[in-house]
Amino acid sequence: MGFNAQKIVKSFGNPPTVVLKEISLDVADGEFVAITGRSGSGKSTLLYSLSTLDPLTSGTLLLDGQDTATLSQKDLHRFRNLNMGFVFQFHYLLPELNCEENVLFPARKTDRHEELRSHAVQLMEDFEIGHIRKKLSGQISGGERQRVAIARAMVMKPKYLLADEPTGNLDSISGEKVLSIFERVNQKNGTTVIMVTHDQGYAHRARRRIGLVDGRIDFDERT
Amino acid sequence: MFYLAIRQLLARPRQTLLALLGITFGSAAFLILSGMMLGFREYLIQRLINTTAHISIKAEEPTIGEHSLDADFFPDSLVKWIVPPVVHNEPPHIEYPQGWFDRLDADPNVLAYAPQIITQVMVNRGKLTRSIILIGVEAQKQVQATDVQDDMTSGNFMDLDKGGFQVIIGESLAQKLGIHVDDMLNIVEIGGRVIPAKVAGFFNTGMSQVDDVTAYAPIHYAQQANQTLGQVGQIIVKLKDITLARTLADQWATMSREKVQSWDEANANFFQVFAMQDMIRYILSFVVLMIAAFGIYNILNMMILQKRGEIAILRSIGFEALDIIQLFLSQGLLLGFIGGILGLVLGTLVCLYVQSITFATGVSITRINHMLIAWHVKYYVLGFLLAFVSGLVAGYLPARSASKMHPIDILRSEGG
Ligand SMILES: Nc1ncnc2c1ncn2[C@@H]1O[C@H](COP(=O)(O)OP(=O)(O)O)[C@@H](O)[C@H]1O
Ligand SMILES: [Mg+2]
Repeated sequence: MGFNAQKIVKSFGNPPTVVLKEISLDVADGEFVAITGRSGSGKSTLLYSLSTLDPLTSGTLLLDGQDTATLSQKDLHRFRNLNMGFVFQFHYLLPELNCEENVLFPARKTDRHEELRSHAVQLMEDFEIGHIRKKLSGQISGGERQRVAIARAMVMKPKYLLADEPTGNLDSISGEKVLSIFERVNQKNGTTVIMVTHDQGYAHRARRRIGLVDGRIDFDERT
Repeated sequence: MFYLAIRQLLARPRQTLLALLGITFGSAAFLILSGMMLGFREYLIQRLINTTAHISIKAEEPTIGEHSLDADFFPDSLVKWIVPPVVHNEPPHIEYPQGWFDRLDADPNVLAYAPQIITQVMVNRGKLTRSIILIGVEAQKQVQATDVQDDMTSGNFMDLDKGGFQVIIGESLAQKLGIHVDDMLNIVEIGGRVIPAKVAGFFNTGMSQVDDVTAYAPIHYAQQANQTLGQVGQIIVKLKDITLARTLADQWATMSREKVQSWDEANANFFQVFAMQDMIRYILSFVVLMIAAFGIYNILNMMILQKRGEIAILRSIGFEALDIIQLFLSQGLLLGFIGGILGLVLGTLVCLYVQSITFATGVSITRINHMLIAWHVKYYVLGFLLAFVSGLVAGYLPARSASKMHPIDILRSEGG
């Protein structure tokens, strides 16, 4: 189960610039993986490829043992909605909705927002943002926004949590809180976490680190 | 998605209100313009139908030109007349009116018909003399074939049939001559002979160009005045179904020498004006709505640019392109829908107000003393559709472009 990538290649443009160069990689359920590397080394591209948001140029990607090439767009949307949570460098909260409504928004896709409301409230309590549930995103701090975004990513109880530089815009205290949430989610719920970061300190909080250099895996180490 | 659409509209009350106002004014303008233009038009058409016969059968003016008779007198020659032949000076009349009467009596489409002779005479009362049009009628038939009885303001039109030389004249003409009912006035015939006639009543059609110069008299007196005894100048016909007027007129025209005209042909110039009014109405409403739609389009486009990141996250958490279309399209539709409804309400209120304005009678050329409004479901439906469609188009274009944005491209360009 988990992610199983075989010789995945991703290139852009014409003439093609190859960004991912035949990367093979397994991520098992329950792992906490940090993808590190210099800016431009292909970290984001790898994360988006693994997430199925970005189609591969070549190679195969198995998700939970299923070849993603055989799945329709609709299946992929469904899979992401049910099994994947995303956190980006920017929070992208919907400014018209309050924090709780933002957290519950993914559940609206399948009309489960009432059913999952108490779960959402619990998540927000866990992430120490229970007190700002009814506030708009414009009324809270950057660290709080990112934690609301993580709660949104977790509301569907996904198997996988994918994060692209989630601490990139945060001060160290807020960044620390985000990391401890990731650790907790990974340990308590067994959620597989794949986090892109170029911060070595945060990377070492993960139990597995994959270093990218120029679109290839440079190292893959565990602690 | 509808839920988010409403929230996004409510989050920008000023923009939303502005867009809504645009649409509202657009559809209201359409409704008001339509109501007013067509209200007056319907009145006018009604008057035209009533004052113009459904079908009129007129004698052709004899037209004999300089060379009309050449072939009869000098076949195969080039003729140069020293004194060219001219039309002999007889008023136009229907060649064989009885033939028409028989045909009209037999036609099931004909409700009534009335023969007339129309002649120009002078009326004189004391020192006042005026040139008027004297219409010789058979009162009974005239009443059946026209609404002339409804226009009577004093006296009874049927009195014309009671015998003696009586006339019924326009009320405004009577005022100009200072005449009361039962007064006498002098009719000066073509030959110059003066016959006294009794004024049996007044009528008022509301059109001064008729009322100022028209008088009705029994037909044989008019024939006498015209020196056309026994002749009929025109026959006016009332149909059971006015929509058949054009068809029947065309049919009859092919079977006769007379000029047969339906009421709408006789008033063709009005219909040209109507067509132009319609064009103006549609263009005006269209322009207003275009501006409104452009407003919506702009608002949504700006919003989409601002919301690229949010669109990306929605896409990445499992919302599809169709959901994104729905999100923005429903905002355009909502604005169109609500704006359309508000526009109809506003338009109705303005129309009601306009209808309640009265103005002094007598000044206008018509008898009505307030603005006329046409109330038709058709204009409500059209006004609403115009608003709704502009919302649809203004919403769809940005929505489609938003749905085509790929989440990854957005995230990358945002610096992810
Ligand atoms: N859509 C694209 N078209 C062309 N080149 C791209 C595109 N996306 C990414 N790249 C290139 O791929 C390389 C890796 O990008 P990325 O995965 O974002 O790196 P990282 O996240 O490690 O900073 C960069 O050199 C970038 O310029
Ligand atoms: Mg990156």
